[in-house]
Amino acid sequence: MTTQGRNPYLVLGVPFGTSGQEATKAFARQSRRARRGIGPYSLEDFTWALHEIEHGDSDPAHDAGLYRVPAVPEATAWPSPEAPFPPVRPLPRRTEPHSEEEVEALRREAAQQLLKSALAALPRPPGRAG
Amino acid sequence: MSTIGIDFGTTNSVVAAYTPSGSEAIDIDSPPADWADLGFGRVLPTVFGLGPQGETLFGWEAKTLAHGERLQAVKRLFQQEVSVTLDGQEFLVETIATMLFGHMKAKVLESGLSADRAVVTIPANSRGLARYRTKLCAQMAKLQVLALINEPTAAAMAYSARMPFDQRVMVVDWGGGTLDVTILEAQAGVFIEQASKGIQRLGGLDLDARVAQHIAAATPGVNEWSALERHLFRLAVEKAKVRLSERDFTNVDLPRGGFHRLDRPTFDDSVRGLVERVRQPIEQTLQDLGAAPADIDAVILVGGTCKVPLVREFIADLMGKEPAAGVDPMTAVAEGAAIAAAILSGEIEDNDFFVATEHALGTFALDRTGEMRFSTIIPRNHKLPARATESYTPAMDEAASISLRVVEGDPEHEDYTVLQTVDVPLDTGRLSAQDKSFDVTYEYDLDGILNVNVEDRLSGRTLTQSKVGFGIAPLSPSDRVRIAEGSEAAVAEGRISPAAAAPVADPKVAELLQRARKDVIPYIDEDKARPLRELADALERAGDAERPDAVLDLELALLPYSYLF
Repeated sequence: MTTQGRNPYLVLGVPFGTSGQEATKAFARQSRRARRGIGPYSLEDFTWALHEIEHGDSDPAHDAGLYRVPAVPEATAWPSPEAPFPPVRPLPRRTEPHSEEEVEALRREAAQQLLKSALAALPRPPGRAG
Repeated sequence: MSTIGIDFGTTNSVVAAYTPSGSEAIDIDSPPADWADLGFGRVLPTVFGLGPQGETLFGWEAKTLAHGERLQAVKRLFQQEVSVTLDGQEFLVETIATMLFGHMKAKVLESGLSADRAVVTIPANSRGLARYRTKLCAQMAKLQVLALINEPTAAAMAYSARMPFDQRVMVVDWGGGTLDVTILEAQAGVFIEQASKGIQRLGGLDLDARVAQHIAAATPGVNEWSALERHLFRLAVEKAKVRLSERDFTNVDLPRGGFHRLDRPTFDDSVRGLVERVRQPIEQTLQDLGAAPADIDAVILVGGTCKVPLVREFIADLMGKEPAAGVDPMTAVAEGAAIAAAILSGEIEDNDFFVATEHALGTFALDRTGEMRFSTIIPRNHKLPARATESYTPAMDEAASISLRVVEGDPEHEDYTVLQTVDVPLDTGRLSAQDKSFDVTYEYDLDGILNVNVEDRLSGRTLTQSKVGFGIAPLSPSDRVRIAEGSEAAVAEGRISPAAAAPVADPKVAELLQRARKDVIPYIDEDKARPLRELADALERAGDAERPDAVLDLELALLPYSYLF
């Protein structure tokens, strides 16, 4: 029985690799919708999809005839809650470094800004204005 | 307007109706006193008979008829037979079955219920032809058939009405004529067949024949018994089998007086070989699902043969669990059919059912090595309705047409039946076989109707369309009207009209054909029945010159079975 470009998981609306047991539950739900004329699929589509999942390869990832998106889900998987994967790495610099004079001018400017911020944060003496 | 469920069984039939309080079998016949206490209270034997004055008889009247002709196991004839001879008259199988459906309908009407719409059950292992003929006969009895439903599915629905939770159940449906093993999943009120395997000609009739053989071997003078005496003996054996389900021993009345004492161990020994054949379909269905006995939540036993203690014990040992309680093996199928009828007519909401095909559908095609093989298009255990497509390429560039053989069968056991051959015209303007490739789509519905559609791959143009399922002896519309009207009159008037039967010219030939088709073929294994059937068909076709030889051939072939007639 050819797939005719269809994906049984997509037809039944279940995640890729879902077990036959779970697919049967989905079939029970979806067939009710089809009886009422709801949705794009017919009963024949659902009976086909359930048969494919129940009697297909025990590891559907081995079946080259079944498409899925993304094709390699592991590439975007987040392997653990603690650490990102792949590990964080610095990107290569894309601009030329500054000259010594420019760096010195930036330091001076930064020092003045810090002093201003510190003075502004000091409490004012009582009884004096202006 | 109420709906009913009909279990049209090989040996017994039951009708049930759905009411707000549940599904219940209806009294449609009254067993004689000596059968009344054996659990047959609501059962109509599926037997048609002609009394001494030519009157039509049904059920117990026909089964216990002392003088006259009777036909049992008409359902077994649905697989391959065209006609049957009764009291020198030839009837189409459809005529007898239509009268039986008509009689059941009349009895329901007498009980005060209406009987216009029905769900009719069929064995899960029924091939398309038997499905089609069953539905046609019920329709010709003026019943609107809402659906055909597999017997095990109906039984599971009756069971689940009492145990309404999600579960996986195995139903062993073993009646008078057939054995079916089916695994179903009940999910939120939806019953889904998952795997099914059966044996078409193995049931209570065969157990009876085995026991009869055992007793006949120990009884002098059996060869001198008349046809009536043999019939009475078979009835006594059947009754003894039923009694032994509740007792340790019983007496089998012999037709010329006296009795044969039969105890349960002796009975068990004589039928053990047949009983153990249930192992194969049980293991096959589990294997189909990659399941173990522990994966099955409940084992439901239905059908009269499942009342035999040896059968119950053997299945319990195989499955490692006792059969589920709460279902009546004799009426569960009809009760489930009535529930199905209530679902389809909207009386019960949020329930549904899906049956599966026990056999595969496909065609014969050359494989890459050049060998002709079965090519599956719709595989076994596919839920219905099913639609599937396969692509094929002609074997030769110059092919102008191909003959597509539409085949049903079991690829694992290489058991095939060619249903029809469809001619597919190809585009002769194209030079290569590859360019002439075509897609074959099969659509198979619940009623056993198979639609075949062949499309040209390059253009998408339909090359041919065909509807398969009209049987071995297609009935014209006028034939159907004749059967429907004749059967209705026969049921109402208690007499066969001339239009319903066609006489056979030579009474000796008629008697011999009747002996082969009625007394022997229904009770023996298919591999032994097939040559007998061929000889009977050859005799029927034989002209005046070859008839004497054909008679002799059939007589000789029947000799080993003289204990049956």
